[in-house]
This record gives sequence, structure tokens and C-alpha cells, in this order.
Amino acid sequence: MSFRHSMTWLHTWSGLVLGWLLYFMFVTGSTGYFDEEILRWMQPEIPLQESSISASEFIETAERRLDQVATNATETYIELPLGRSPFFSIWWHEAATPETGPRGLWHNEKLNPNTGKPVITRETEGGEFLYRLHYALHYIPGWLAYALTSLAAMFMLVAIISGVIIHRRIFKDFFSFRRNKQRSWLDLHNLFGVLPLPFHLMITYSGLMLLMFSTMLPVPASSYGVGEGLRAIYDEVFTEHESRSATGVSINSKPTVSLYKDALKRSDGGLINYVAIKHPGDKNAVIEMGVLADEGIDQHKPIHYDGVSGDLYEPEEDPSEHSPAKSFYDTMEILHEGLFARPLLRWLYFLSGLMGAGMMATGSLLWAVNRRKKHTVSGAGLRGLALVDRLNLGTILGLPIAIAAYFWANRLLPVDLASRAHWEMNSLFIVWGLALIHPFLRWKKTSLKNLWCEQLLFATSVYALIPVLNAATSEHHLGKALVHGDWVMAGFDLSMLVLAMCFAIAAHKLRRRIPILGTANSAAGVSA
Amino acid sequence: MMISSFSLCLLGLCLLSLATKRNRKNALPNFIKLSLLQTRALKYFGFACLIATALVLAGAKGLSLGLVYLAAWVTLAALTQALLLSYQPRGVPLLLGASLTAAVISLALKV
Repeated sequence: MSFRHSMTWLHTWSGLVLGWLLYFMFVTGSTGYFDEEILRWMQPEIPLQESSISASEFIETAERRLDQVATNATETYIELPLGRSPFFSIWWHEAATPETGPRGLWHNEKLNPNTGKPVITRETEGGEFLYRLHYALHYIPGWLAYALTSLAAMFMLVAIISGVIIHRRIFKDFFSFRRNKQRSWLDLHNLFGVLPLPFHLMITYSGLMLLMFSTMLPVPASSYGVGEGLRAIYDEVFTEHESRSATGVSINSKPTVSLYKDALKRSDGGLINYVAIKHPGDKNAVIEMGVLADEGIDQHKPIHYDGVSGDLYEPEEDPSEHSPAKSFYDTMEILHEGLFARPLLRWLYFLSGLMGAGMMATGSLLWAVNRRKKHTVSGAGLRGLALVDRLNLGTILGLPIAIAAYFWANRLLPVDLASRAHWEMNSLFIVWGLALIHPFLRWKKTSLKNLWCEQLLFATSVYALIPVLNAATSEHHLGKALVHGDWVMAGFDLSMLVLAMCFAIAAHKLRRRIPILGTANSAAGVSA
Repeated sequence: MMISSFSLCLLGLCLLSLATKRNRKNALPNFIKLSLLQTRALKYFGFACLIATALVLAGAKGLSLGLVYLAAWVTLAALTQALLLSYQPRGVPLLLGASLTAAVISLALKV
């Protein structure tokens, strides 16, 4: 077997073995780039900011509320509805006690941007759930999920590298998608793999690296032991070091609003989207203004003030922050999560993620198509292949349908339902299960092509009706959101319509172009 | 400098796509047979545009964010090219002209 042949074998099997899991990780991970926007849509109780309230007024309102609820806080945090964040909310941290646990407890309250009063929102995990799914999965212990997703990422890395080696004409075929040809699936697979290749390499390598403390435990354990020793080194490396400790001496802090105005002048028109106060009311209080960074991959370039004198304050630098290993780890983490990305770059992250999902989907379909050709020539049975075909359908289309079901459940489940957030999550998996069963229930009655069309049309309907559902169950319908420039709500509804359109086009093309080659057992419906 | 960098990237990929015989056949109404030197010139100009994109982005956004944008721009521009070559190959020369004009104007305006 030549080197290229052995690499082809490696590419096929490393991509295929955990291909459906990788597809799941790409889809859910991509939605994670809009986790805050999804959460905003899933909490329609939060009113639209109708009056033009200045950031200073927001800060004063938030401080009044913090004075009422956060009397013993060791740290407070005001999130302003500026920049990407659509929320006006406050956070406060209570010190460690037997009631709050060994690390203390963070509390969060969302405030009405018009009145400053707390807003009671429905219980939901929002986009954070979809984001967490891509590495922590669901219903299984964390260690097992990390092991599985890490293994999948390792297979993916092997598949990418071997894919580049076997792709003989990588530059010549860079733009090639030959429609209606035998090679269509291969061209599409190559396009989805090669165009965002830097993204695929970065996301896979960094993903693998971010989970290394779970999956490569023996390495740090050999140096630091397990249990307390390992915990101590994790805390040292990953916990933010306090440059100032509380003295216990109470003193009035400098008014935050005046410091905010000063920070605005220093930031050259940059947006400040959070204000954090460490040790509020203490002699050693520090006030941090979160200025959104214009350059580089850091999300913020914070400005610090001494909370009592109001002078600029430079926190002592933590030497471990500058070690090459830590800097590399941090850079990879920042690149993976894309928190620094402004809207355009965020959309391109999302698009690249979807192309990754497309690469996995077309890879699985391509394997089935090639397998079918071999079986046709050899005359061997197609039972195993038929199983793969149905699972391909249930996974590739079932997952987006299940995600739509998650959004539907958010609006249809009673607001006061016990464990509501869990039922939203369960809805996703129940519907996905049904989508997986559907091809098996109907496989003797219709062709595989029709099964694909049925799920595509169903996906079209559930996505197209989400804006209607939004209009029926909240005050933030698409028309109102567009008129008020509420781009988070409008963007969500419009994205759902675009997705619906994509599914509709796919259904139309599938119905028109691909011939029906018999009923399900022919299993040939999706080959092009 | 975002418009100029994207226009340069698009221009570079247009030139690179026209450097291959198959794409030239589909994109140009009258197929032009180019000499080896001419094909190489298209390639070199194409790569030069991509290098210029990287330099413009690094200057505007810093090295780290500039590289992230470069990867994003190349993906988006290549996807545009691929779609055009697959569905409207005759649009490639138009895109070449449009991206060249946009690159010159946006570089002059520094946008």
C-alpha cells in the first residue's frame, strides 16, 4: 500500500468513526457563537429599551439596586446593554461561607432598561446550553463527555492532516464544485474542508488543547500528584490573582459615574460595557471599567481606578500570565471562543463552523455513495448501508430540526413549569430521537429520497414558523424589532427565515434533480 | 481598511482562479489560450494581492487580529468564487473588474 493510499484509508476512517459526533459538535459549537443573542430571544420578558437612557443613568440605577441586594458583596459587576451584550444586568459575589460553598456564590439579576426594576425571566439555559453541548454533551458524566469529544477532535485533526496529504490537486481544485457530476459530493466535501482550512485546524487543535487537563491527566499528575496538589496548581494557573486584598476598613468609594466619564475620555470613544467593583466600600476598593478593545484579540482593555482616591491604578502583573505556555494556551482559548469577534467576524466564525458541519455531513454521505457503488458492482447486500443511510438522514437533518424544537419548547412550555429549563433540553433530544426513528418507520413505504424531502420540508416549516411563534408569544415580533432597530431579536427571526429558505431550496433541488431509484431498499436516493 | 482588504483578497482569488485552464474556459466567453509566462503572471499577481491583503489587515488591526481576518476574508472570498464559478462562471470577469475598482478606490479613501 502506497503512502497516499494509506493516508486515504486513515482519512476515511478517522473522519467516519466519530463523524456524526463531529457533525453534532460543529453544529452546536457554531450556535455557541451567538449564545447571548439566543438567550435574549429565549427571554422575551426583557423589554425593549424604548427611551434614550445614558450609560451614566444605567450605572446609577444599577448601583441603587446593588445597594439594596448586595450589601455583603465582595465584588459587584454591572453589565451595560452596549456593544454585543443585549442585557442590562447586575452581578454580585458573596464570600465563601458554609451556605455559599467554598468558592462563594455569584448572583445575577437582569434589570428593566427603562425602569431599572428587576425583570423576572423564564427559566432557560438559552444559547449557553447549545454551546456546552459541543464539548460536555448531555445525559452522560462530564469525564466521559470530555473523553469522547477529545477523541473526536483527535480523529478530526488526523483527518484534516491526512486530507491535505491525499488532496493531490488542492490548489487546482480550490474553487471546484462540479454540479451534477459523479464527483459532486467529493467536490462539496473538499470545498467545505479546504476553504475554511485555517479555521478547521485552529478550532480542532485548540479544542483538543482546551480539554487536555481532563484527557491528558497523567501528564500534570506525574509532576503535581492528584487531589489537593493538582487542585492547587490549577488554582494557581487559572484563578485570577487578586492584586489587592480587602482590609476590612470601610470607607466611602469615589462615585462610579465620575470615574466612568473619565474612562470614556481615556478610551478615545471606545465603548465601556461593564463596570466591576472589587471590595466595594473597602479601603482597598478597585473599580474596573471594561473598555471594548479595538485591536488585537483581547475582548477588553480594562482601565483600573483606586476606588477611594479615584486615581488610576495599575494592578500588579501576575508573572505566570507571561509564561510562553500560558500565553499560548490563552491565545488558543481566545481564538477558539471568538469572544473578541465583532458582528461581521462572528458571522464568519459561524459560517466556517457550518462549513465544518457540511464537511462532516458530505463526508458521511460520500462514504455511503462510494459504498453503494462497490456493493452494486459486487452484488453484496445493502442492509448495513441502508442502516447508515437512515442514520445519516436522522443525524444530518434531525439535529437542526431538534434545535428548532428547543426554540419552540422555549415558547410553548408553561412559564411556571417545574424544571422548565430541563424540559426545554429534553425537548431537543426527544425530537431528535423522533427524527432518527422516522426513516426507519417509513423505509418500506417510500424511497430514501422522499424521506430526505419529508425531513427537509419539515425543517423548512419549523424554521419558517419560528418568527410567527415569536409574534404569537411575545411582544417582540419581527416588524416591531425592525422598526425599533432591535437587531438581536430581528436578527434571530431573520436568521430562522434564511435557514428555512436553505432547507426549502435543498428540498426543491433534491426533488427536481435526483432521480428516484426505487424504494427504500435501493438506498440510492441521495447520490448525485 | 476592511473594504480595501476584502477587495484585494477577492481580486487575488479572481486572478488565481483565472490562472487555471478549466476555470478560464468556463469564465471567459472566448477562451484565451495563455502562454506559460502569462499564466504565471496571473498567479504571481494573485498571490501578491493576497500578501497585500495580509499587510493591509495587519496594519489596520494588528498582527494577531489581522491574521484572523485574513483567514476569514479568504474563506468568504473563496466561497464567493466557488459559487460564481459553479452557477455563473461568466460573472468572474465582472467580479474581477469590480474588485479591482473597489480596491483602488477604497485604498485611495483608506476605508
